[in-house]
Amino acid sequence: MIAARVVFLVVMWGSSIASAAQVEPMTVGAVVRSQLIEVSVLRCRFEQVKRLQGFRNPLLSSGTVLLSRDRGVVWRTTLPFVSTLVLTRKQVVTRSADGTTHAVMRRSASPALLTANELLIALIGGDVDMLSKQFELQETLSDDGSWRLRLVPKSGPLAQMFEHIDLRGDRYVRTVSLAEASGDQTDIRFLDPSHTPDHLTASEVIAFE
Amino acid sequence: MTQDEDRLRLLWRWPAVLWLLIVVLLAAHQIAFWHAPKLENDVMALLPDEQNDALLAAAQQQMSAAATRQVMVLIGSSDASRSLASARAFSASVERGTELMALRDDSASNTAALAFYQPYRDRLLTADQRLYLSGTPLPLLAEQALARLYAPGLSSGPAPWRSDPLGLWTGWWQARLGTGVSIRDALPVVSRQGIEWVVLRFTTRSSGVSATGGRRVGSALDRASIAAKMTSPDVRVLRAGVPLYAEAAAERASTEVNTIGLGSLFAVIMLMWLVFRGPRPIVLVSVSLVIGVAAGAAATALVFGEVHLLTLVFGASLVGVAEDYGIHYFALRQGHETLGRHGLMRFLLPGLSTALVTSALAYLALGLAPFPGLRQMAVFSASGLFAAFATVACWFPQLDSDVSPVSRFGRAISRSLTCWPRARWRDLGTWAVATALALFVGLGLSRLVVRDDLRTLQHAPTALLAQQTELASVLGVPSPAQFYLVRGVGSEQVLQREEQLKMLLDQRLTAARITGYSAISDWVPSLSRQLADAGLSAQIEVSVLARVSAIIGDKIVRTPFAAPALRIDDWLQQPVSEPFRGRWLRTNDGQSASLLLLHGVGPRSDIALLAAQASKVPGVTWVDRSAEISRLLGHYRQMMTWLLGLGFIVVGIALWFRYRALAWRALLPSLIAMLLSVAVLGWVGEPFQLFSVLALLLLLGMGVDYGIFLVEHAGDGASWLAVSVGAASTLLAFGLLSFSATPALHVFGLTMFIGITVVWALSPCFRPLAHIFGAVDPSPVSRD
Repeated sequence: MIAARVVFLVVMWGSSIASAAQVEPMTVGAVVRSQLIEVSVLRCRFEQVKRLQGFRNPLLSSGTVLLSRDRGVVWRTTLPFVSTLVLTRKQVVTRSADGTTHAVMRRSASPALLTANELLIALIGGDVDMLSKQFELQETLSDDGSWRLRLVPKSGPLAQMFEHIDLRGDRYVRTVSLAEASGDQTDIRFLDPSHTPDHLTASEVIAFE
Repeated sequence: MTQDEDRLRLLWRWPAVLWLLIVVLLAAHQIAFWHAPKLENDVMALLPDEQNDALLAAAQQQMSAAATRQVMVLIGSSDASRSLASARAFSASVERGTELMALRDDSASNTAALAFYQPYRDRLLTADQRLYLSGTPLPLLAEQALARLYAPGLSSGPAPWRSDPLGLWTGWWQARLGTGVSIRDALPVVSRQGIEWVVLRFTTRSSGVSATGGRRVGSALDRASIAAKMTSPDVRVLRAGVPLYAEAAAERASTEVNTIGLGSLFAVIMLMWLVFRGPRPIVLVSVSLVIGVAAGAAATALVFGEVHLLTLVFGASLVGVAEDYGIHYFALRQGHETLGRHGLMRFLLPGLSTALVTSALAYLALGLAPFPGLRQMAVFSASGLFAAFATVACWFPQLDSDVSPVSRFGRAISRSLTCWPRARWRDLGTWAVATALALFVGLGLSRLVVRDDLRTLQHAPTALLAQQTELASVLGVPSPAQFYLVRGVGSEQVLQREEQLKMLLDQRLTAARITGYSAISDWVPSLSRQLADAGLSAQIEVSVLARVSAIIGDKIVRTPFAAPALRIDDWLQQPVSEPFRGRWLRTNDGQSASLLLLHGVGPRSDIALLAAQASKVPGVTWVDRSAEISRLLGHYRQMMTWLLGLGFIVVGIALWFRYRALAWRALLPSLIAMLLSVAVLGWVGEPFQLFSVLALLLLLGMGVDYGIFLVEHAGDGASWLAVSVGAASTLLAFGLLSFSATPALHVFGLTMFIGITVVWALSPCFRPLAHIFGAVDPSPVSRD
């Protein structure tokens, strides 16, 4: 449960990256699934707004996101400061502007990370089946092909953390809004998604190291 | 003569009826006893409890009480969700049964626990965090706090960022859970080398293991394992726990009682059929043995309130000696037909009584040792022997028929006595044999190794041991046998001493080859530690918040924390302390104590290094139950050796009263047999230990009986027949015992096997010439 709380619910964007096996298509989420395109690598810009209790001003940040179905996520903040968060299956690492890295946690010590990554991969892979285990899904489809998916935690630790999570998108996930039980609110917008080339470039591979 | 017999028959009626009454009472008691048998099977119960230290005794009591009922199960696969699904199937199967109850450890996994510790977050730091806070430059700390703040999505963890900008709270909880442990679906999951193990804990519903119940816990777990594997075929299931060992031991003990008991019974029946033809002697001797064992069990239960399983095994074997009485009677029917049955018994009584008295003396000597188990055996065997003797003496003449029972085979054995060599003073052969034996004994004794290891008492099935080892490597299970007792005046002193000890251990975990420890102060640090940590975290976090505030242009105020410290008394009231409460002890005189447990203690751990740490912190005692037991075993082995010597002298004196100058002839064969069997242990490399000495004591009791029979009725082939039949059946019974998987019983059996063979072969060599003591014998000795 601690584990679940630490989950970096990074990104609920994402489409695309194909979930390997969708054995049992479920009716709920089927529309969303049919809209999302499948890719193995995705690059985009992000804009994040956090509204936290006890803070006068909302926290604005922006940067780039690199997502690899095989490797994980590189979350690179460029404003208001430069910092990179690398989430892989093995560890979570922060990299400062000067290039020094600090392991936030390693999977060997803290399997919570595994939980986080499992959820992350599920979200990224558009694994509606897996999400539907943890969340009640309500989907709304507009005529123009855009959709909205509301995730309400069924019970347990997730319910203690979240009121709900909203995803909006079309062929890609465009926005994620997290409404936390504490009253904190996070909105993330994903801009300029691109999935070419469909493999990691040399410099992108290094970013995961 | 017949008139005499008629008079005796009338006289005999009263003791026979009296004994019948006693046997009826005995039967009633036994039916009640076996209806709900109070059987103890904990080896520790066989050891003297000589603790004067009340706190230490309470600590050990606490440890063994908790350990004796707990079963731990690990269910693992490469995928956590499959492990969890199998674990749920496993639990569901166990819960359907009545043997086990799931133990939930919510100390670190539920919301209540989180809420309880939350107000004290600022004063709960791990050792690593203390170093991190004091050793990292402030700008770097601020940068990391900033990164956490801006991390995508939810980043605050269990505490809001404002109250824990550096995420220390999660680290503290992870340390409490253990490295690589997470909680999923309210169950601890351990990641080790790519396998996700779900940890399940159970406790047996009934304390102790019933000897008659079989593998109830084991079968329940077997069924549950099948259920788990149905859910996911590739999951692995590991289990460990004292109840499993206890059950295995009880199961094997009962199997061995059955094989040895049945084997012995079968051998005796075969032998007696060969010798005595008809069923009557077999039935009557069996009756005497059954009554003997029942009386032994009853007397032990009455005196001690319960019977140890090992007492039952040993006691039943010891009472087996009593078959000699019945056999002696039937063997001597041959050639003494003129005496009549009652006359014969009157004629035999002096010899039988001498045999009873000497054996009983040898066995009662066991009770001199302050071993509860040995005292039980002393009571069991002495009362059992007496009951069997009484059955033979009171009932046999009444229940026997007039037909002489001895077969042609039996008569052939009787005749063989005349051909048996006799040791003579002026005989070169005698001295040659004596010299060879002396050499054999001397060399054998010089090769003898003494071992008092606890393992000589126990023998765990290899499969169980392998699972236990693997489970311990995954989980780091606390050792119930080795731990520290930390004492102090008041709780604060105890906690401070724990913390001192933990610092010493932190530096020596690798050297001592253990994986960790678990202490009360992990959960409730001493007040001084709390004060220091609260100061440190406040100082650093206020600075970090100021720097971050400056960067983001805000004014962030650190959330205030509870002013009073986390106190052990409050903690003890809370459900969160439930799994640890037993490890916090208090005495009436204001002393407190705690148990600091070690994880991953194994054969390769440096016990001496661990023990040495205790002396470095005042109030700390190193407790090593295994070493202590081994030491006690050694101590009592020495004591028993002295008791054996004492028993030998007592028996010698008793024999001298009856046989005077001939006494040595009854005693010497037993002495030689004892020396020889110990020498053989030396030659074959079996260790000499407490149970070897026990076997020697038994050997003394039986061997002297043979000597007595042969001296009492010198030159009487019928006595030789009795000795041979008795020795042969004893040999078969104890021969089987040497096949026992329990090391103690194996050594016991081996010693007996050799000793009885030797004493049987040697006793006739020292027989006196006929008629030397024959004045007692009113009838002509039969010579075919």
